[in-house]
Amino acid sequence: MIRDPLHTPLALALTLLALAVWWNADFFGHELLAEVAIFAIFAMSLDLMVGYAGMVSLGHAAFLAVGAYATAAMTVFLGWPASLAMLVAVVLSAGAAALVGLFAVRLSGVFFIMITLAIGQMFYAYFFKSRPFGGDNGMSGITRPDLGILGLDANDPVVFSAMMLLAALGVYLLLRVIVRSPFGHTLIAIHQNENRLRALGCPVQRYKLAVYVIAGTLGGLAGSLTAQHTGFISPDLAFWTVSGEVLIMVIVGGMGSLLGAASGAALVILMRHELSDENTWQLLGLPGVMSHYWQFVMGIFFVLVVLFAADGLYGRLTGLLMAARARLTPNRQREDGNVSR
Amino acid sequence: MFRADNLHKAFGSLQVTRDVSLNLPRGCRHGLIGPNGAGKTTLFNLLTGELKADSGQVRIEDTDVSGASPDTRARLGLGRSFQKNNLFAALTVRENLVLAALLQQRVAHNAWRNLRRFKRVQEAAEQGATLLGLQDDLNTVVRHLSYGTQRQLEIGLALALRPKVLMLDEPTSGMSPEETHAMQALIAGLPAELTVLIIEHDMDVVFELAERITVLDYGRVLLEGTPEEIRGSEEVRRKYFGSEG
Repeated sequence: MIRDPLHTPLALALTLLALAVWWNADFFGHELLAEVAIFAIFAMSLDLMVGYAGMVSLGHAAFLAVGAYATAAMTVFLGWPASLAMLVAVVLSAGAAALVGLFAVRLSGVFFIMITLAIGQMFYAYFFKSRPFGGDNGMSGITRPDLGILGLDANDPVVFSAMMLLAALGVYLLLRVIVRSPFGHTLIAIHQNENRLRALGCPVQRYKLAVYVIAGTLGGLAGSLTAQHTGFISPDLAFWTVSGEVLIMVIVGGMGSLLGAASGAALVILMRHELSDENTWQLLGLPGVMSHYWQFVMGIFFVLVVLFAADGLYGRLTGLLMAARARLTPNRQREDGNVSR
Repeated sequence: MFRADNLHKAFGSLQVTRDVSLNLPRGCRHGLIGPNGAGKTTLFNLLTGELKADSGQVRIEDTDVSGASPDTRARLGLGRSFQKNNLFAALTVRENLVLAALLQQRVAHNAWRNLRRFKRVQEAAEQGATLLGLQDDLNTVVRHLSYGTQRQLEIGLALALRPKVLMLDEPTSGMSPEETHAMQALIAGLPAELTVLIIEHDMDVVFELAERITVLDYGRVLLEGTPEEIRGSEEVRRKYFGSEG
């Protein structure tokens, strides 16, 4: 598509990069890669809602926690296999999203932000207080799927990071089908002019509920994978700063672009990891104590992104590409004109 | 075909619509005029469902839609244009018309098939653009179109729904004389079986296009009749054209 020249090259670059990192990574590299892949899923699920339908949520972490706690409860309390627990966790997340969505999608703009924030914090408060779920201590001992049938061990970081990359790829492909469908086109229209769409006969609230449920379901999937990845969960998963962080990933990467959201997740997680590591700073010839101020440095980075790339890095790069192309095209026409003369 | 019976609406103690009834047979061209503050826009919103009447009924083809939402009324065949351009400004002309065609063909909810494979939707969008004379602007982003062209697309979107009733809210407002003429030609060329209700400030436009005219005053129907009857009415002249003698 002419309006999205960055898509194919970036998709290829990200795939190759992920493969190269996976191939070369050490133990911690695989842990990091798995975290990036999980948060890419989480960020893409939020982007469908925020970037496409224009519904800015500050409570998306609630579904991360629902997916994680459901997985933990079923593997630890009931001793279910992780794969079955994951399936049930995703269904439960969908149910939770449908229930919350019924109320939330009636509101829009800043009121939608507020109600999602409030409901997200209710989930946090519940998990924090609940004795069966370990209160503020959280839960541990969550298992990973048994891949014995394939001759693989999911507890091997190499295998697990590959699983997470495949899951992220699968979610990306699923969401790509959705955003290219009539439904996806309608979501963009909801973002732009909800009222006009209603006058064209679109039951806007039902569409918003549908997108809220899809986003919540995939958020729950990310939560289930997080629980399997770390083997430990705590109420912090539902805390509003997690919702804020994934929103930042989407904004930095580029709202309204799945690859942008996934790149944003990778960028934010890698920056956090590298900037809080003394070695990074020493490599740059700076004192290692700078690593204590990693949040400050990240803050400056976000401010710069918002100032100079308001539509995210993906949007900014697309804009630059289009401008470059526009500059090249008239030149070519002028040359053609000279030749004909 | 499209009728309203005894509509009442009050905002607090202010009665803005008092016992208004309209009856539009199929294919009629009906004008709605009245001085500023007569309650034209409120009546319009009561008919489209943006506002709910305190009492009274609205019917589309014997279906009572008095309590129905704007989107339900649109699906039952009520198309409308807006007084201020109200389009999907960051999308192209094609994308705007595709949207209307998706909703008209009841496939907007399809989330699994690529939009480009909906050939009938694409064809409908192209036909719509041709009807409006916008076939060369299909890939132009709407906000880059001239004001008058946007006004035309505004009506084009409503028409793309293939409505039974088309309600036009000041279709020529803010237009140059040439653009007004183009718009008049567009409205005059609408399918004969389409029922059209026009609110318009420009008297010449209404008198030219409408077969019947309703004059509103202080929320009441002051008079209803043919353009000749309205023009000849002493009461209307006093109320409406009073300042002009």
